Amino acid sequence: EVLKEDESGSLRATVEDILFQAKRKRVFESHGQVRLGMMRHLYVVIDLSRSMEDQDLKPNRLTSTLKLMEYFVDEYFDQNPISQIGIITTKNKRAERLTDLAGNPKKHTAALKKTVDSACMGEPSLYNALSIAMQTLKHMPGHTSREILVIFSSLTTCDPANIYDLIKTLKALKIRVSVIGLSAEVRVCTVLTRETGGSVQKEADGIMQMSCRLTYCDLLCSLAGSYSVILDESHYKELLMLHVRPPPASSSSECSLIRMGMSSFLGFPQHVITSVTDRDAKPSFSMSHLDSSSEDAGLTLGGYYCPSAGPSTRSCLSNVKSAGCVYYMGVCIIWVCVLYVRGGVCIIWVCVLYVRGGCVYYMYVGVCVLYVRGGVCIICTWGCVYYMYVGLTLVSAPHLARSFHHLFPLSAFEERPLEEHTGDRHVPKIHLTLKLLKGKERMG
Amino acid sequence: MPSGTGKTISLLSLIVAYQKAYPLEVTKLIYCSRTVPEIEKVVEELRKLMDFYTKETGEKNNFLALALSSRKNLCIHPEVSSLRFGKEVDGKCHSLTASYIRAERHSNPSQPVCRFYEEFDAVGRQVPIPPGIYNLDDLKEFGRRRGWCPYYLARYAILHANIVVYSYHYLLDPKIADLVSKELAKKSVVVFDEAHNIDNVCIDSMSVNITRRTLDRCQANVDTLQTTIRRIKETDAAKLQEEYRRLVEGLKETSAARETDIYMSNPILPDEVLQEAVPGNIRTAEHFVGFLKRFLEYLKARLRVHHVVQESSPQFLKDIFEKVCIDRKPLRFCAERLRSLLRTLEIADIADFSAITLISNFATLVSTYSKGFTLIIEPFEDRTPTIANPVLHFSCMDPSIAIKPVFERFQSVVITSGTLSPLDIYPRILDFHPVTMASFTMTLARTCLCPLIVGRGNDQVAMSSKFETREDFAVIRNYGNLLLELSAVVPDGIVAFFTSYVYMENIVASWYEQGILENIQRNKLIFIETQDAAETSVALEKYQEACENGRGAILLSVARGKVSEGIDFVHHFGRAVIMFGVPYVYTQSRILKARLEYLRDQYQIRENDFLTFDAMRHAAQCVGRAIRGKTDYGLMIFADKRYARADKRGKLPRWIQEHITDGSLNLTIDETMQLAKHFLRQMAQPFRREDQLGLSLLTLEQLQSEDMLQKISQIAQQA
Repeated sequence: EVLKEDESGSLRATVEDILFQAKRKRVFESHGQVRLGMMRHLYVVIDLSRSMEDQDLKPNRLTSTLKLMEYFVDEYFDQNPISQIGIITTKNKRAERLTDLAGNPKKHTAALKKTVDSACMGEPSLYNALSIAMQTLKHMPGHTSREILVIFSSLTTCDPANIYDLIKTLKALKIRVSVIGLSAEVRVCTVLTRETGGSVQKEADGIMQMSCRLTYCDLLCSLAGSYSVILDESHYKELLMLHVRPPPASSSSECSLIRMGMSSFLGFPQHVITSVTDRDAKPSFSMSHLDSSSEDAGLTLGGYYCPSAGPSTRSCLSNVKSAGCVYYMGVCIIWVCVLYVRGGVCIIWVCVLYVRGGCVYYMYVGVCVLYVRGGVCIICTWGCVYYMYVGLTLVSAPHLARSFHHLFPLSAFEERPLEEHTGDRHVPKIHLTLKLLKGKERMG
Repeated sequence: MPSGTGKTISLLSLIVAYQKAYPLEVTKLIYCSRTVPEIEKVVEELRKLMDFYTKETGEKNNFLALALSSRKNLCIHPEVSSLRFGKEVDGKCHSLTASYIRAERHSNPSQPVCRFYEEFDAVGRQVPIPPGIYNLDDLKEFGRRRGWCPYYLARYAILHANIVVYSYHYLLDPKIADLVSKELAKKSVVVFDEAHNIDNVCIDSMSVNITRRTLDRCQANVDTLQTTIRRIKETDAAKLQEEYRRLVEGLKETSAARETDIYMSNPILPDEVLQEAVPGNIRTAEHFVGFLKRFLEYLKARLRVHHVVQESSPQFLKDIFEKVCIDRKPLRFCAERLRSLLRTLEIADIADFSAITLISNFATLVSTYSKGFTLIIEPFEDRTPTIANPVLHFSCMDPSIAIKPVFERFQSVVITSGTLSPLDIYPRILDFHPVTMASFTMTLARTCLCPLIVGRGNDQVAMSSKFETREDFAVIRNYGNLLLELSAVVPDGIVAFFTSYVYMENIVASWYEQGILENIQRNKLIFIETQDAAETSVALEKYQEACENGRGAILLSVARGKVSEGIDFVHHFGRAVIMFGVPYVYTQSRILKARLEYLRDQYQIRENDFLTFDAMRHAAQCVGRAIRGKTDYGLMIFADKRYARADKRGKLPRWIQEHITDGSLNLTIDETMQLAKHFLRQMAQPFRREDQLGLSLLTLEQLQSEDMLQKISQIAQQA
């Protein structure tokens, strides 16, 4: 739609306008230091009720939705390489699982393609769909995000029990529910999204203390499940794509794959001095050797000791097989030894140091998990230490590259009227700029 | 403006500020609203205002503001308050607190009395109630703590309170006003909120309907009076003698009080009556009872008619003089004389004597006012011409009679409502000269209301509830289709209003036959308002539950019914309101005809103008249910092609009119659905506080900025 004049002669904000403004807003209100959950478990609930046959989206709501969903699945895996997705459909007062939680986009796309021919009938059941999703999601590990995205076309839901009880359960399980409405704002969805996001309110308080750049309101909005209603196809796509971006992680989610207890998580390395001969001595890293680029980066006993290392890990550490070191953007990740390898997952012992201006800041010592996927080794997001109120998420280089723009968004362009511009109005080396841009895109 | 846009708080803050600045010129604010929830809302707004004052000035609030309601809402007596009906509570309360009951207790300690009243009577009047804001619950709480009766406490406290909030019956209904509001200071500001129906309230408070049942009960009352008089005469003749002496002296006391401006005058008890002594032929109790008997027999005879009689008050007086030799003068004293008698006879339960009180009020009214009233005797109801059910309507046609004392007594009277439109008709029907008259529109950050006038079905058949076409099959089907399609587009709750119960029943029956109801039920549940209040409240409760948990519901109700006047459908409880037809009042009623005639003769208001005005204010009231605040939004669908005409449209409130564009006139069902869908999607987009900022919400800096001040003064000039 383009800008149009209505009968009374005033200009009406068109869909285009709304989209543009929303985009601007998002850019301006980039959330700075909000931690994003990188490992996601997402269930998409697709409404297949009678109302999906409505033809206000071309050719009809169902076809349009499924097409967008295919695109969404691809995008989702592109941006969240270690995440999983599952699809649930609901019609005729029932809900059923179309695909299970899985990381293979092809499977989902195939299933979606098959759904195009299915008949839309009856009413949807929000309750049944949510409870199916919940049954699986509640077993997902706590460090990952648990999300449900509902694409809701109908204006009614047929529920076997009180949905408000279910909402409470979802809230307790920290499952975040977002809804995209295809027709209008339905009360129960408003409550659903607000409530399931409500648990993060406390956390928002916490983050507020850390970063005063954010307004509280925005933060809350960004943390809560979102509820949006589409205006037309392009808006629909826009809204759907918003869910590709990883949501801010809630700090109440556990930060490690291996539960180490609260004290160890927050425990900051203590300096312990022991002799090499002491059998009970805990291995630690020597700071003095960091500058030397030698292979065994100064693993010694004594020095800094991390309380998180339990006896079992300690015993593993005794047969150190390999040690390596990766520098990335001033973050130095040193892996010390491999503790466990099975089926593409390997758990290693690492130490993370942050080097800047000749000083070394100790960031983290502990156990980390590597996912091996398609020949790329990904260190999964799992730990972070609030040190000087800086949350650092441990990510691997490729993952970092892919999600770089999420983590460090471009600062917003400043809008200036043309009159103020004094210099040459033409961009001199446009070809070069384009080339650069292309290069960047390929990287992204 | 619909509620939730700040009418009440603007009025309150303006008047309170004036009160603070000129404490001697404006001593009291009397804020009258319509229902108990509305009264409570006003008090809560006031509380916020006072908190703000305390916060800003740092002074402790020294205002006393309180709400007053009936005994039913304020009683804390464990037995009495558990009674269900207001009348029962009043009667029971009276039987525990009447002065002679309490006097009797001195001799007979087993006589039950209300301990709360006793406690209040003992100490409550000496100790002033501490300043603060007292809502109904606060009063009860305060009463419980002190062991005082909250009702009598409130009634006593309104005399020295700075702000009183109560129902406008307390000021307009002469029977109650005499008890409650008589002594309120002259330097008060009176505000009538939700006053769009004030003329009807005035008329109702002055009208009397007498049926055969009333007369039968009256007969019983007279018999009781007679036996009581006989008994008292044997035991305590001196008491009757004392009363007689008092009556000879006349009602001088009242007259003196009225002259010195202590009391507000009572339209039932006209000034002239006060100057004179009660006439000799009804001075003694026996004579008065005999007089009442005669009067009663006469009325009974009049009710035994076979055809409709309509006459004026002078005609009636002439007839009564010829038939039973009752003069005009004693009739005028009837109400006052009866009250005196009941006091003398120490009859505890006044509630039982409502019938005879009614008759005596009628006698006084009919003999006092030769103009502005009409008397209609109908032998049967129009719908059931075979069943004899004679009714005597003595109906007031001039609302200015009841409201006149208010205008005369108080220095400023403000009449306001969200749907007071057109403004200029109110001064005419209430017979006063407004000092200022202004209609304000509202500033909205987004167009949150969408009035649509649907005139045709998809088959191009015009939709109308016009008498000629209301039975038309095609019209009913089109109405059904409209509701069906809307139920598929509008989320959560829809409220549909019909013009009358009969019309609703017909339509719903016909929809059922056509299978439309079944289709609608696939989308939403259906609830129906009935004439039974209890049934309706159950339906309402279930309706709200269905809206709350996503099932969605439709409430079918009637304009002028309970739902259309007092119940708000906030947010999801009413995303759309449909008005099926134009809610004209039942025009065949003789009372209405008489009133229209009166309006035409006295105030030069054409029948049609008044009828349209009345219909449109009710339509506006119905559709206004949907929007209850700035963040709320709702569709308003006028399903009748007649709404598109300028004379109808022009009578809608300004804030609705402004949003009716040429594009929303005379739509077909399909067009309506397109517009509705678009509107609902637009409204579902996130709407936050910041979006309102600078438009409908101003910060202090914005308010003080030069531009804004200019804009405000511009608006003020326009108004």
